Formats: sequence, C-alpha cells, structure tokens
Amino acid sequence: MATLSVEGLTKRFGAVEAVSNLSFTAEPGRVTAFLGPNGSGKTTTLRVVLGLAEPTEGAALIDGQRYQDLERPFHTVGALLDGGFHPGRRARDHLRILATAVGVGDDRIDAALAFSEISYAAKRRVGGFSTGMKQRLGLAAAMLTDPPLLILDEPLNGLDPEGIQWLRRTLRSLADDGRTVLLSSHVLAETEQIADDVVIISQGHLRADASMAELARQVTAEVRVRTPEAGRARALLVDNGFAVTPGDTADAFIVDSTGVEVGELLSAAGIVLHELSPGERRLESVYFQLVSDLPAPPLPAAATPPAGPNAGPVTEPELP
Amino acid sequence: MRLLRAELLKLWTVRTPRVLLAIAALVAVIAAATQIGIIEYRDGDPTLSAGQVAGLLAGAAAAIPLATFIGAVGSTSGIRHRTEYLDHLITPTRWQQVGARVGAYLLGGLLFAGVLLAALLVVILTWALIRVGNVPWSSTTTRILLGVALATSAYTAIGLAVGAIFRNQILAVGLLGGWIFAIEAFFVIPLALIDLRLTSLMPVQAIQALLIDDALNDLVDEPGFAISYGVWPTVGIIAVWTIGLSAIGIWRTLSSDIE
Repeated sequence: MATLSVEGLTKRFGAVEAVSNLSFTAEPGRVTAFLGPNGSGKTTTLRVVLGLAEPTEGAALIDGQRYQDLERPFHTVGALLDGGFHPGRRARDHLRILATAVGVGDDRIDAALAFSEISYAAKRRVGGFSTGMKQRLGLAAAMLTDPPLLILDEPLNGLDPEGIQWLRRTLRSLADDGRTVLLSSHVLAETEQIADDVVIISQGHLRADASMAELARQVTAEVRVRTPEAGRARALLVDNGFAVTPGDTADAFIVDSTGVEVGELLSAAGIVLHELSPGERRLESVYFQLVSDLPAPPLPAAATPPAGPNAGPVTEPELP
Repeated sequence: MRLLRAELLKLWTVRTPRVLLAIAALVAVIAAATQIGIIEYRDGDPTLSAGQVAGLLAGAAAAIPLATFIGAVGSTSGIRHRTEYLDHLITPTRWQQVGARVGAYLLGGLLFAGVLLAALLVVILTWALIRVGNVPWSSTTTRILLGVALATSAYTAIGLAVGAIFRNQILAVGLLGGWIFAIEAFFVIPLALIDLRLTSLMPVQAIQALLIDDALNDLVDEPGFAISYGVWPTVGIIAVWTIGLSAIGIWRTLSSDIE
C-alpha cells in the first residue's frame, strides 16, 4: 500500500511555469486518471514525482517521502514513461539488466513477461516491436518488483483496441489488489471506464480533483426534440422554465432536461413527437470545458480545489 | 556490485560493442599478418628476434582507437534511446550510476584489449613456432602487452567522457573519429617541426608512442631519436588526458537533466 501526494507543486523552467501550485492525492486501491491536454504539465509532474526533476516549490511524496529518499525506490514505485528501450536489445535482456540492478531473480523476469503477455517475444529485439508491444514491455519493467504504486505516463498510446481492453482489465485488477495506480492521458474517453478518480490539469493549473462519479454528475442532462409543431413546443417549454437552444434543423431543438420531463410535458399538451433522444453532451464535454484554451486564472487560496479524490465536488474555476 | 553487473550486461547485450571488437580483432590480425608477410619477404634469415615479436604485438595499435567508439556509443545511448531515467529510478543517487558505468567501461576496455591480444598472439605464436620453433620474448614485449591494455582502457574512458560531455551520439562519434584520424594531425605537424617529442603531448600520439616507441627506435638507428619523453612521462600524459576529460564528463553528467 502506498499513497502518492502532490503538495503545492510548482515547477518553473526559466520564465515558463510548467506546473503551478498543484495538489492532489492518489490512493491505494484506486485508479487515478491524471488528465490534461498535451503540454499541460502532466509529464513534468510525473518527472518530479519520480525525482527526475526538482520542484521549484512544493513536494511530491510517496508515503511521506520523496522518491529519491525511499529505501528501495524501484521496489516501491513501478513507472512507465516515454522511451526507455534500446532498440538493439532483446526484451528479456532489457528486463535482465533491470533485475540485476535491483537484485531480483529470473523468476520475476518470467512473471513480468507473462503478466504483460509478451513471453512469446522475450528473445526478440525491441526495435522490431510495435508501439503496443513496447507499452507491454514497459509495463513488464514497471511490474518487475511487484511494486505497490504504479505511475504510467500515457500507457494507452499506440495500443490497439484489444490492447486497450487488456490494459483496462489489468489496471483494474491491480487496483483491486490494493495497489495505487496513477495513469496520465490526454483523452478522458480512454480512462473514464477504468478510473475511480480523476485529476485534470490545464496550463499547469489544477482544474478538477474528484471521483469519476462526481465528475459525471456535472454532466447536464440534455435531450434533442424533433416535432412538426416545433414553434408551439419551444414556447411551451420556455414558459415552463426549460432552457431551449436551436437544433440542427428547423423542426428540432435541444432542451437542458431529461427525456422524461420533456416527454411528459409535450405529451400532455398533445404535441406529436418525431424524436426524443439524449443530446450529445457527455463527460468529454465537461473535460473540454475544464481544459479549454482560455487563459488560466490564478487560483486564489479560497478557490484552490481541495486535494484528494474524496475531498468534495469538482472545483471549476470561473473562466473569464 | 549489482549496478556494475547491470552496466556490463548493458554493454554486452547490444551489438555495437561486439561488432567493434570483431572489427578491431580483424584489423589487428591483418596488421600483424602484413608485418609477418613483409618479414618473410625481406628476410631470408630463419632467426626471429624478440624485437620483431614486440613489433608485431605493437601492430594492435592500428585497432585500439576503435575502443573509443564503444565508450562514446555507450555513454550516449542512454540519452539517445531515453533509457537514462530507468537508471535513475533504480538508483536515484547519480554518482553511483556514474561510478558503475565508469567501472564497467574500464573493465570493458580491458576485455577489449584481452581479445585483441589473444587474436594477435594466436597468429604471432603460431607463426613464430613454425618459423623458429620458439617465441623470443623480452621485457619490451611484456611492456607492449601492458601498454595495449592501458591504451585500450584509456581510449574507452576518453570515448565515454567525450560522449558524456557532448551527450549527442553522432556528434561524439564524429568528433572522436575526426580527432583521431585527422584533427590531431593539424596540431602534431607544427609540434613535430619544433621537437618530435612534443607530439607525444597530444592524446592519440601519446597512446601510439607508448606502443611503437621501441619499435621505431629499433627501426631508426639514429642517436637521440625519440618520439616521446619515455615510458612513464608518456603514461602520465595519457593519465592527464583521460582523467581530465573524465572529470569534465562526470561533471557534465551530474549537472545535466535526466532524459
């Protein structure tokens, strides 16, 4: 069991502030998705967590200690970052080098290869691997010591649909075993099926720190209505306090409500419906709203989102 | 010890060092065989001197510079293929990583020398036994054997240091190749015009002098002729270059971001 806590982390590169006062926690037994668009500061944060870069301010702690202060860091944290393979080296040799350096036996190499389902490619040179196979080998390396905390940077990149399914199952099962799993991605849709918690950053600022269920509750219900009596129906709905926006055709419009409420009201008025379907607003749209390219506002202390997945609802800073 | 073993595994589990070693052994054997051919052609005398055997072993000098590319490729491949971060995850203390790498490449340099000399000795001993039935040996021959080991380790360490300083594989390999086979000559020529021994202040010339000094002295029967200041001063010059460049390489590694 290992808890990762990022506390007031700021990382500057010269005049550029890559990460600003970032705080969040990844808990044991949960998959935490660390989301943000490319260049939002995710990899920089993970590099600080792993001691590959020094924070300008704040700290990233694993069970209260910096990575570089852990007694057996590679046995505590398994990490997958971009790259990490010599193309001319065989997969098994790659793992053998790591195993030799950390003092684990050949049985762990076999177990890690079997875990990642790439035992068949153990004697092949990594240069001939597909992106998906490299991701699996990277995960095998991360699992070599069976660590309680996994930090995976964009692990779904380059995986085919079967690989994505496999990784989702695998990470879920690792979390169910009590491990802490933190995975970064720039696509919410890739992680919403496996993540328990979600941390969203944009332009180095925290945009949301919540459980996936809490984030889902931010999705406003929305239905698409199509009727030959569009004018009358729209007027009726507006009179009853519903927000109505024009649809893509003259006989259609969108209502911010549920199908039940809209259907019952229009039916009671005797309006014929040709369509009553869920709108297109999904979790993804909440994510896009949070990470929109608008300039990031400074987060005043009072508005700083609470750390931790269970700390409260999604904090959405007011965008100018 | 684990880190040292892991670094040696890294060195051995990619093809480049093995290919360079095979090429070096081939070059050394061809150099020795060419000298043997010249001796056979020019000298009908069935005797064989210890100086000739020493001269044949010094033929390894032609192949030793290849060891520097093993060091350069090794120290830059972690950056090129972004494997450096794994070293750090295993051992966040960077001086331990650097120490293990330097140790592994010095051992690798000695192994390189061992294979070169083994290949040469097979050829030379076989020929000597067939020609005269014994192998004339002298203290110079032993010194050249030790010189090959020292020179190979120095070349490997210099390659490792230059790779660590420039951190770009193509630049480091190109610079070393250019320096060894061309650039140093621009410094050597004016020095030679002043005093031939001054040329041994340059790194490649110092390493070459360590191996071929005696052979040249035997060939050039001229009082006062010398291409270096003697064995120990030459060893000192090589040590200054190797340690100096290594110190800069280590400082550069410790002060650079981890890729």
